Amino acid sequence: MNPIVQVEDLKKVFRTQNFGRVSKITAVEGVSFTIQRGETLGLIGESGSGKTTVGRMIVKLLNPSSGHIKLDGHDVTHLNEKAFKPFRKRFQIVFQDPYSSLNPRMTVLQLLSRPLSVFGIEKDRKKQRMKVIEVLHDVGLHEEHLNRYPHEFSGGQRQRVAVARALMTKPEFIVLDEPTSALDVSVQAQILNLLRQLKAAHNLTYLFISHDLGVIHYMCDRVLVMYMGEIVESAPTEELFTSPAHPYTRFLMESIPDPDPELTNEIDYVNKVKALQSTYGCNFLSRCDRALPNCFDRHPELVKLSSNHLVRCHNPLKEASVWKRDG
Amino acid sequence: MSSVSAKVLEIKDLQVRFDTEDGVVKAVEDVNLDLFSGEMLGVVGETGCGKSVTLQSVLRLLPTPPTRITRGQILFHGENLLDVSEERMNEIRGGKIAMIFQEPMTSLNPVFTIGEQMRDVIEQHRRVGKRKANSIAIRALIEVGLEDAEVVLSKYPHELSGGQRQRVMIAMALSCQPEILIADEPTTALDVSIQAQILAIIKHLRQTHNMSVLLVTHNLGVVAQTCDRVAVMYAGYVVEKGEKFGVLKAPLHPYTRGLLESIPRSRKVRELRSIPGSVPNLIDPPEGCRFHPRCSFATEVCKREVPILEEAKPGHFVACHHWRRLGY
Ligand SMILES: Nc1ncnc2c1ncn2[C@@H]1O[C@H](COP(=O)(O)OP(=O)(O)O)[C@@H](O)[C@H]1O
Ligand SMILES: Nc1ncnc2c1ncn2[C@@H]1O[C@H](COP(=O)(O)OP(=O)(O)O)[C@@H](O)[C@H]1O
Ligand SMILES: [Mg+2]
Ligand SMILES: [Mg+2]
Repeated sequence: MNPIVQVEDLKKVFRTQNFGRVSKITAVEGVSFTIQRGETLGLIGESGSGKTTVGRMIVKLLNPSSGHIKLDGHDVTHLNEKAFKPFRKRFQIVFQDPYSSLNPRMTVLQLLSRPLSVFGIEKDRKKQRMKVIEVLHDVGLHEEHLNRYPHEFSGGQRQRVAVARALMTKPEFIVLDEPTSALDVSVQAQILNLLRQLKAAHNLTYLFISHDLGVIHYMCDRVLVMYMGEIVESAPTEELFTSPAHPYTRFLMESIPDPDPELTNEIDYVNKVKALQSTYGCNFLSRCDRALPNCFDRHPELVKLSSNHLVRCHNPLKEASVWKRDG
Repeated sequence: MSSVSAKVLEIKDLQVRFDTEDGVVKAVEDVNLDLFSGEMLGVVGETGCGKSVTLQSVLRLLPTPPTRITRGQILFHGENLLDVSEERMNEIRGGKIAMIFQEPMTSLNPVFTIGEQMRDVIEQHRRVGKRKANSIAIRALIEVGLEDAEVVLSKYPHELSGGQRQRVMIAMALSCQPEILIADEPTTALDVSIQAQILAIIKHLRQTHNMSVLLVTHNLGVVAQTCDRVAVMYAGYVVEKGEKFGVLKAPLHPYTRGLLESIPRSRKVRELRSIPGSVPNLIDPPEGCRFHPRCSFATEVCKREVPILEEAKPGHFVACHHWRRLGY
């Protein structure tokens, strides 16, 4: 069977104007990966590393500057909006901020029945209403919520509405772009559980974007780590957490304050980071404490450590992990 | 440690109300918190539990109306800050007690350079001339890891990254040699790596300057890794407080426990425990224990009576009718 998503050598350059000066930002470069049906692929990295840009290109809310996107084996890179419409129905996206992603002037019923009309799934008002109620139940909301507006909900409930809207078209794949980052940890737990249940119930495939390693560990089968627009490591979740190979991945893990006060993760952040810079070398050089002469001269390629573990580093880590939270 | 050092700040029986069109918001109820010399106290809880209101009350930053501080005292070395003149308060604010916020942009003026703003604050609180103020500012910036201090001083706030702006805020707070630093979610908007740096800086400064820190966060990991003691707030009340090891390793309140169990750790966990529902609107909060509608241990008494904060173990306080049943 075809991978449900396959991207090849994706690149995205943004042109911005600042006081008339045009500058270019390469937000994403050389990104290739596949997502198999039924898996949850995690995408992690600091803000600005290009995660959202990748997610938006997959569902064609953005067009890549170069590279290819195949959805269920079809190259959709150059399809226009009309030709892409059947895919739009099957490939959905949920954003971080439920406040801005839901039209404040529409009720839940209006918000959720719209995709049914737009995609010609159901025109009949009564039947639309029934379908909406069904999906509301799926996400833990009820009929009484139908006529409410987004601002009348708590943050967690609003994110449930956003998930419900994505589910209306019975998609096969959903990009979840930091769906819980704006929520308190208690409410985040509710939403993460819901997303796992929905996935099982509807045979969904997820691309799960987050900057929280704990969330990624809980949700994902496999993880991609992004740094400055590139994938720097890719591995099955278990392996990534037990033996991260890229210094950046380990750095991210060490940076998380552990809620167990007996597990201390003290590192000397102030002095650790040396001010190294190189135009040709590795992007991570300026923050790396393992740099070799090679790292200044050559940009590292993404190479295989094993069949399913890739890393972009001249001097990958070999020692065991710092992740202590397991079990 | 805390029992032998001096209390620098005491929040006593604090009660805060907001008058709004929809009714009176019962935002803070009978909050009691002590801060000892040189210690770091964390205040945690979900959004809307009264953490910021409590902290802002300390420096009288809340506008009246709509705010009414209806009861309580804020004692800074025994002096009740709720009674002192506005003039005295201005001396204390930013001088003896400094505050930093989640979004530094809100407290930085966009039309002045960092240098102009820092020198102003330093001149006012340290009573020194421009020259001296400038060198104090440079030292403070270097201390928070902004090595190219002179360049930073010439920049406008928007020319800096989020992490740099937060460092500037800390440097600004620090340059007045405050006894107390109040930090309200100082790292919430930042990446974990930057968060780790900022926290390391705060910890370091607290040691070298013997500063006391009151840190608000909704991140229990941050508390575990930086604080000495922790207070957990729910819907306006302090529901548990004590040494971090006690509170985080053997929590006595179902709410604290729920927060800890909500933290995702591992894929091997079949389902995360979570706390059902959400923080109530504090205009019409639940009667009795405000947590009871979300609590799996709740019984009749919880619906009727507000539990008092009692000392369950030495130095470990909890406000729950059923803490004994929790089985620790
Ligand atoms: N519409 C846009 N115009 C210009 N630059 C953009 C745009 N969207 C994103 N960028 C830039 O691209 C980079 C990657 O952004 P993004 O994909 O949002 O990262 P992430 O989701 O990992 O935080 C950033 O430097 C960001 O400023
Ligand atoms: N200016 C205000 N007017 C009315 N209600 C307010 C105001 N500021 C805060 N509140 C309410 O007070 C309660 C506590 O808020 P806050 O201290 O900001 O919570 P936290 O910092 O724990 O997230 C909330 O119910 C909030 O809605
Ligand atoms: Mg993003
Ligand atoms: Mg707050």
